[in-house]
Amino acid sequence: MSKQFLLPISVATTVALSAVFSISTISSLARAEEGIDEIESMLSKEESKATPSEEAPQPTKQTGELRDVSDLAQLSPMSDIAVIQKRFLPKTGRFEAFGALSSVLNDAFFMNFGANLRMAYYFQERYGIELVGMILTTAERQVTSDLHDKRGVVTTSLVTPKSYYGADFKWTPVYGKMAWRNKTITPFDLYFSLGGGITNTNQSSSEPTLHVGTGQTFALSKSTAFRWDFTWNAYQSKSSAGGSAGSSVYNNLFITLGMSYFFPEATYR
Amino acid sequence: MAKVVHFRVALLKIICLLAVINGAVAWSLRARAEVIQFPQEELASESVLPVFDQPEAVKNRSVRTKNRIELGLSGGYSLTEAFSNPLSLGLNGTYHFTEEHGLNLYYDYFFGGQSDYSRQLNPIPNTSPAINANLQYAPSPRFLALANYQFTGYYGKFSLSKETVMNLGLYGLGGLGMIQIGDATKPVASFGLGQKFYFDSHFALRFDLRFLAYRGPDPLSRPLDKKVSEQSASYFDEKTVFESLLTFGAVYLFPSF
Repeated sequence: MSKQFLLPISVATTVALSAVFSISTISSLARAEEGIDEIESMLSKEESKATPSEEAPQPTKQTGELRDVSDLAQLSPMSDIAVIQKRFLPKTGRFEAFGALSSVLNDAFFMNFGANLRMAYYFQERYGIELVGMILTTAERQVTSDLHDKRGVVTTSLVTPKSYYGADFKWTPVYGKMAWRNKTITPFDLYFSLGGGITNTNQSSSEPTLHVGTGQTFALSKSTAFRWDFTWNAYQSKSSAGGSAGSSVYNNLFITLGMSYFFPEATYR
Repeated sequence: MAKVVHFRVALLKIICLLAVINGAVAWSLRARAEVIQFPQEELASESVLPVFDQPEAVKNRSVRTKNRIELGLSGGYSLTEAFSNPLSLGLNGTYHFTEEHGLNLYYDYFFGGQSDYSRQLNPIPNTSPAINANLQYAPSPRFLALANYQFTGYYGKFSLSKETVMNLGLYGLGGLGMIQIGDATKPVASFGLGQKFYFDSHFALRFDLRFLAYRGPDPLSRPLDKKVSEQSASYFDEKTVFESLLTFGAVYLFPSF
């Protein structure tokens, strides 16, 4: 009777031990095979990366009909290749609302700070138009008050801008990407703008103004971007600083920093 | 009963045989798996370093600056200079310790002379009898020498109308130096930012915007209408001057050594 019980127990033990041993062995084998597959896939990737550069054929002009795979080497190079293919922040058919702070960089007698609002529409990735509105606050520099207090110069006749309204044509020929400390990539556009408008000065005059600018737009997402803008405004205005009350050409260099919002949502591939 | 025992013995034999075969096969496969070993140098680095823990955005830089010297020539414009000629000529040299960190030395020579504003004050408008401000006799900047730490945080590339690709770097500058104004030399603090556009791995255009702060002579603190020659800086009171300097030039990046 005891043999009758011992036999099934021993059989069951053998089977169980065998199963456990097999499972552990197979699982470790599977892990090992996974590792091997992973390593082999990496090595094959490395080989596939290395092969084209090592054996890259120099393309020549297409001479005839292709009959074999080796004839692919005779293909002529493509004439239109996008150097950087994927646009992270497409602009075609979209509006850009831009809000920023501006300052005049080159006014020796006044400090000018203000708000800058712009609205652009892009017909194509490279071309667009933009409406510009800028309001500035003005404060005298120390040199200006010294001229008045110590030398008796009438500084109220010095011309400085109070606001500007105009429209630009925008050309964006440059598209690129930058890496911050080699960790994160930020796509950007570099644009140029040309336009005109009206500058309202502290002399209560409104002067026609030539507007030339450049700047960069750094994409933070597919709808928002950080943007800086460097603008030169040139206009003619009357000034009595020289005592002649004649007209002079004034040049204002503006630096503008702000955020852009693009809408509507773009359609992506 | 004998048949049952016989059947169980046969069943036991089959199970034992299967277990032995199974174990032998598993053992042989396990042994085979352990035999395969790759030399460490042949293993891809990604197999030991998690990809997303140490991302590398730029795998192969077209323009490497580490251990390279860069020399350049530039023109400068003092954006908020009231009475002196704002134009200058600059020399700059940079040694790049790494791709990000470098030491920039900058020397700027000011052409001197009066600004348009200063000329308009000879004579001062609406004075009778006419009085000349004579600000040309106030000390004006002669040269500026700066040693800056240069941190190139951004490196990238861009497409110019899909035809060519160029590289660029965006960096910040901060440092100290000396500025000579008339016959006085004053310490100056500087910070700024700039951008380089590389035509290839050697030539680049360089734009810098630097902000300067120093204690210098105040040309309006003393009357100059009776003077006939440039006055010493010590003749004037001192004031804190904030100036911004825009420079534009070309640089050549020498090979590393």
